[in-house]
Amino acid sequence: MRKLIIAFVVIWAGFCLVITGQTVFHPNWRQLVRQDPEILQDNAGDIFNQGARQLKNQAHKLTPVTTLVRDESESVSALPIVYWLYPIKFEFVNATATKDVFKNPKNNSVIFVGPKQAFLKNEQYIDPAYFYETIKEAEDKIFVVIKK
Amino acid sequence: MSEELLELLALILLLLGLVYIVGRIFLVLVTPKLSPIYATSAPVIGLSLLALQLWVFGFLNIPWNQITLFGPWVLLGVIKRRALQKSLYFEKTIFKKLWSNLKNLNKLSWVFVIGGCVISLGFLVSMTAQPILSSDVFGFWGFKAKQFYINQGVVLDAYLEFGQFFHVDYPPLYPLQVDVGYVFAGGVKESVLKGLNFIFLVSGISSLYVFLRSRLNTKNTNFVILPSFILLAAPQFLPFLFEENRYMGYADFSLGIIMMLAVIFLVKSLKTKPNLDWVFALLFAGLCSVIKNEGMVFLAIIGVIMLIRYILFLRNSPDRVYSVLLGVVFSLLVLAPSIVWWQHKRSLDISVDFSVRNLTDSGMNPAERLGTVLYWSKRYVRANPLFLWQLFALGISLVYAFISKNKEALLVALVIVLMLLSYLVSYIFSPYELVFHIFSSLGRLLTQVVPLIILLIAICLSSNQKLKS
Repeated sequence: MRKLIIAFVVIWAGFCLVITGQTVFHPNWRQLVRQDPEILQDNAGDIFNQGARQLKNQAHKLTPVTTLVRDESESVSALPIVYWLYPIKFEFVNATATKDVFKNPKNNSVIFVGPKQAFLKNEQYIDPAYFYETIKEAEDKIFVVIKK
Repeated sequence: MSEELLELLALILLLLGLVYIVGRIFLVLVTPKLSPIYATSAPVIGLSLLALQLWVFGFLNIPWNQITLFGPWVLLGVIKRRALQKSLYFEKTIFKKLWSNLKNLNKLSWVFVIGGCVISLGFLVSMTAQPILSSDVFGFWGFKAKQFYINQGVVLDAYLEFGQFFHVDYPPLYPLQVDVGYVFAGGVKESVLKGLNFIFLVSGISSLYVFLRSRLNTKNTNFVILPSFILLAAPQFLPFLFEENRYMGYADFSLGIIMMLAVIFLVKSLKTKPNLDWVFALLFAGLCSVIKNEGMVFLAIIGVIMLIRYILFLRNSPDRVYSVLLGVVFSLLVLAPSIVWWQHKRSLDISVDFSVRNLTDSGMNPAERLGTVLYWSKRYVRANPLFLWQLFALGISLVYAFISKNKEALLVALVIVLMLLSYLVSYIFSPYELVFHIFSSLGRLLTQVVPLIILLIAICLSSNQKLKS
């Protein structure tokens, strides 16, 4: 029994050494060491994450309560925006209610997040012509972070 | 290496030094006794005390800054400077002993020592530099830490607006521990959030090492190195320390380490009448209860074990009234953070999702539900063979514990088995779709008990050696 335990522990430790050693020093490790962590963060993740970091730099343009329009199926995608922009508060609006958001866009900042089709899918959510017209009217109040 | 990264690494290492000193000051306040295990667990004690201090500050509207947080400790350090110097000198001798012990290592152990040092460095750099991406960190761990820091208190109002999906009910200690780093850094720095687990890593491995060291003679240092190395490099931890799989279950790692510290002190307490080892076993279990909900179960298990032992002790105690009073007062102190948290949740109408109603709603009887949980758990482990290592380790350790009737091993095995059973029961009462729930959470639950399983097999190993030597 003693020999079995010792043998097992030695093999387990060897396995850990190989697997963890490989993972820690992965091919991108050089980049990790040389690159500025802020730049790494800016370039990391998907469109939502990168968009959120860009929005962080424009946070001064946002109103204290900003409307976040998101597709129901993409609620998790809004997380980086909520995180990076906190303590700015959001009113969450589902994509189906997009038209209501445009009633008075100048008084409120609007951030769109989700797949493109959720917002531009014909008239189901919003009239594309109206969407672009409103952007033109209130360029600095509307921010779009949508999946390409 | 970029300057920015060097600064961040220095920040994490300075934070480690700072929480160690705070932990050490606390220890010299409560005991004149010097022990290597106190030294190695000091960083976790210090970090947790500072986090609890921030929590209290939130209630009292005391601002969170470096002066209010660290000032009282500087004062206490000055007052207790002689005892502190003595303890720091004692720690210096531990390092000397460690160095002389290393001379007894064989070549294979040297491979693990050098590999361990290199991997530790890799961990530190990777944890600090890798970008944050996962929904868990944006959704709750990081978000809660940022929200608490900006509001200077455990404030959940804005969090509640965002929705119930993101584990509003999780206790606040881990985000508060992150906030200690933010206060130290003077602002929200995500690298602190990512690098914080390095403190748990260092404290956990060194505590396991000195605990095993105390059980073996110096000729058997090789048997101390191996479990310590596995605790450092077990691949189960990789998703916890890195952003792999876009998952960052950071509090699971710290919970696992603190559970191990609690059980180390529990094992140490077996040989003594109620003393500081008893206190620390309960103290660490109490910390678990405010890190994650699973920690409440752990506290209950350790609490019941300690209670039974305390009742047995009281039967022979000459001064029962005093002992009972002391026990009650101390238990209330340990439970206080959990009670405060539960009250806070009640006031915000945050409920626990797990209930008997979920079982009845599922349309299954308990046996069917249990069968389903076991079936999908088996499927999960098959799909993730890494967990087979720990299950095998648990299996042979259990066999050994029963054959040898080793009390320490049996006790640790009991704690592990009860924790695993509690996970099983929680699935039976889960509000979520079972396959989704098992596949999204079983990995982290099994990883929480990895340090305990390594401790168990290490006890088996060292008990054998003790008999031998």
